[in-house]
Amino acid sequence: MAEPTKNPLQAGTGEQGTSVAEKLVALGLPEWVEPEMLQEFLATQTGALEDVEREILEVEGGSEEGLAELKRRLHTMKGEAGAIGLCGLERVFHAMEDCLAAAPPDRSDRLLEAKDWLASTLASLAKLAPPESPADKVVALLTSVPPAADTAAPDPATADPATADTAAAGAATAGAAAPAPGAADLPSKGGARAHRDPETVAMLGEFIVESDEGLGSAEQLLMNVEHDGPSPESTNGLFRIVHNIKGGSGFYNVPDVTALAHRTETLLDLLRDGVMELRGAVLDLVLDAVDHLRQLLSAVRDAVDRDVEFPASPEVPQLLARLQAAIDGEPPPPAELPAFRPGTQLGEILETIAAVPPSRTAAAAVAQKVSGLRLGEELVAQGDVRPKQLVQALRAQAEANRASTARIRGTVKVDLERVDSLVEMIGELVIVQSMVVNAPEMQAITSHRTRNYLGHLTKIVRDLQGVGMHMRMVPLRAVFQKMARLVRDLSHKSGKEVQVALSGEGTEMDRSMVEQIGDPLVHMIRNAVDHGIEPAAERAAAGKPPVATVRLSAFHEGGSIAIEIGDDGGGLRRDAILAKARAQGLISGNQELSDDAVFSLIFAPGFSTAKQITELSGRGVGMDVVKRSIEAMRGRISIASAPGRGTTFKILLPLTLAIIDGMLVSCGEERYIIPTLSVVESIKPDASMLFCAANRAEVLNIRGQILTLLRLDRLFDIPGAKSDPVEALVVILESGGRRFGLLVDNVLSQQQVVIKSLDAGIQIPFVSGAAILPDGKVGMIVNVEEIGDEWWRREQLHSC
Amino acid sequence: MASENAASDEAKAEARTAELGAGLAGKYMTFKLAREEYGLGILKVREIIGLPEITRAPRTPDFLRGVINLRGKVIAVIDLRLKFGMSKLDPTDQTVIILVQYALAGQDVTMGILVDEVVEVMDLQASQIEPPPAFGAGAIDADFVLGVGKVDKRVIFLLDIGKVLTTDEVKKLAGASA
Repeated sequence: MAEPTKNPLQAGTGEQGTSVAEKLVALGLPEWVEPEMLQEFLATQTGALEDVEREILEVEGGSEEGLAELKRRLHTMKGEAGAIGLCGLERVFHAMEDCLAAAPPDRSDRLLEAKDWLASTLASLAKLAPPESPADKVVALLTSVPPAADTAAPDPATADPATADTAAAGAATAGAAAPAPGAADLPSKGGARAHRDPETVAMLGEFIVESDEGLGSAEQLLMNVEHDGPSPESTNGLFRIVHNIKGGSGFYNVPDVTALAHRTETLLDLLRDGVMELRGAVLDLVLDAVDHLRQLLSAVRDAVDRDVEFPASPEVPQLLARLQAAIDGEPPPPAELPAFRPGTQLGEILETIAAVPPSRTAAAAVAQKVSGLRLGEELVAQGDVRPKQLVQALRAQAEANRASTARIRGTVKVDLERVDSLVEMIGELVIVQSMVVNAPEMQAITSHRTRNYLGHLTKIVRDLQGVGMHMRMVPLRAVFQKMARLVRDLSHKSGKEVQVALSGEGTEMDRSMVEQIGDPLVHMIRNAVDHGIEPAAERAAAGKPPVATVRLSAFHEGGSIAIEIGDDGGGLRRDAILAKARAQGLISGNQELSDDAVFSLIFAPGFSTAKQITELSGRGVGMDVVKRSIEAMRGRISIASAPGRGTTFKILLPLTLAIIDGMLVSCGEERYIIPTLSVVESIKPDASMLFCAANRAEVLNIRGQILTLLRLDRLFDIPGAKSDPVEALVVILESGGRRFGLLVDNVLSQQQVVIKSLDAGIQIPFVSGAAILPDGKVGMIVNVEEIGDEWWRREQLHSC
Repeated sequence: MASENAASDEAKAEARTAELGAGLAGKYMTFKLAREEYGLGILKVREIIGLPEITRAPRTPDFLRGVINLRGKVIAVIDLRLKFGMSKLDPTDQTVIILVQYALAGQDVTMGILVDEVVEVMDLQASQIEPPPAFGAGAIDADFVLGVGKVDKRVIFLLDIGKVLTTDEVKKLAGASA
């Protein structure tokens, strides 16, 4: 008898259970591995693998952040694989780490190959089948000596443990039911089993989480300092954070962390006393130290997870030496120019503090364009201001700016699951409440008192909904900070001078959306710096300031959140986009298109991948991916661009993923919800607006704009809808820069609805989800993007 | 020789039947569609509800009757009559929705199935279960019938609900309009 078609890992009870367990052992897993453990492992690893692929590509693109991230991720995944005794996977991860470090010329290819193997192996494991090809092949591929052996041959010291590792792991695989080959047995891990008791592990976990948070705010402080100059508060803040980490790590006996934290603290102490300034190379050094502390802590977390001794990091001594050099007063090596803000109010501050005549600041402002120095530095260079005065001015400025930065507030840490279930229950409460209040029996109640109570109930529930929504909201600050860092790195890498201007970092969004918005933003920022901003010579020729600006801002607009990514680069080149789109057959030869329509062409899939376009128009890499992720969040993206003045992308997102503003429309006996974000307006058409070609294709003339008219009843086969448009209503919708009209019977109301995804992965065409209406029935949410795309596709078919 | 072979074949078939019976023995909830009685493993059944108002899902096959609101969750409802190619029946006071939970493409899925009436929950012994008969060449693909239960004169088709609505079919639901 065939296996039932359920997930083989779904904990089988009774007879099923034993057979699953046997299969697990047959796969070479230790006996104590429960199906649930493997399942959880597979779930996390599959998710992480996608990130691995992305990061490999990022690393190929030269992202150092990606490299560090990838290292960390591979390391964690290796630990997880080792923890449940999957030696083959563990070896591959290990080889990937080695390959990453050895950096052979075809590193990305090898890593991607390995990633593909991992993906297929995970898929096989999910089916309880052995891997399609043996791990050794992949390991061999990863560790083979590259053709250009002179540069990147792995040094024997690192190669040795790898082989030993391979041998040990291989032996373990051979004996199928062998006891778990704990990662601690591997010589390269440098640690024997540590045998921590659960209490210590829990306390260590807390220490790591707290330290992580601390380092997060440290990074933020440093970025603020880079932007606004140092302040006693920021140095004190840094000092406190590092001090706490030092204390904790000393207590838990993590020598590397303690040493690094201690040395950093010493440096910060000097900074605090004003012996040194937290800027330029010193700032970079502190950033490095913070970065490294993070890595060390993640290694500690890893070691705790696998219950081995804490590993020693080879990079620590070098970093310690650099810190010591700085403490000894030696100028830290290569000082790079920090980012600065031109035309800053610093001049005004200096005019007050140092009594610099306005004419001198003006002259300095001109001179700084040539020298590339900060205004203050320029003034110092010209002898108008003494350094100390500048520091005072910068501090004054920081003081002024700090009013806007958030203060650390008292918080309580709550399990995320609890928050989610609370929010979900509030969602259900809202639905039931409105069902109760709207029930005909309730409507019939005339008692003043009862009606009052009902009103009170409604208000409380509404307030509760607001509170619930906000519980999941987090500020965009962390994401923006990451982007600022990205711009900084990209700017250094590309040799273009770019500064970043952030605003509205305090704007809050649903936590899951904040996680999802990161990737599209990275794409767009990278595009802006790589392609949007012209090389220095071109900028100079156009008379623009040498330092380009990437603006990232967030704000509320209506019931949505708007995020804008703007650059002051060359702008999108309309002609080039049009030419390419014609060549690719996206539009027909003689079509006249609005700017909006032309610009949205860069979102077309395939359009972005063409190499020529990237060179011609300078835009479009991965823009279809950006558009799709924004749409997955039920958002919209639009472009504004002016030749020579730059490009601004504007993303409009709903406040949360769970609730949207909807327009409830009726059609025949049925009701549908149209997301208000997509609605431009709704109008009652009169006969003079309506035209019909060949008795089929209906169009609408609205104030001179000709729009296609689609009918909801025909789209959804709804019986009994109004057939004469004059008696009905037209809702004008916008999707991807294109507008069209949708004929419905009536607009019933505007309201917030709680989105319910459809179970079972059932997708209904042109429907993006469902919501419970106030009377308790289910209403479908119309997928405007899908309708727009479909209509656009047909349009193209007809006109070609 | 020949008879010996036949005998051993028969023995093998019997052994298979016994094995199948042992694997399928347990509690079943039975329901009716037209004359026929079907059985669902009791562990797959979450609950039975009366017929609520169903919201139609446009541009999907007939057998997907639509979706319902079950205490704030949106659940798809399959009309098993239509799924099995039978004629549609106007709901009676016996008509109910059985909520079943099963794994689809690695995910736990709750779905409602609309049936004429629920009969009972019964215990089926291994000896009462036979393998599904071959349904004849050209007949519908009936691999969703796990076995056939025989109780007195009743014949109960034991369903593998996961196979009744396969992944392919769910995908087809999605692609129905294209």
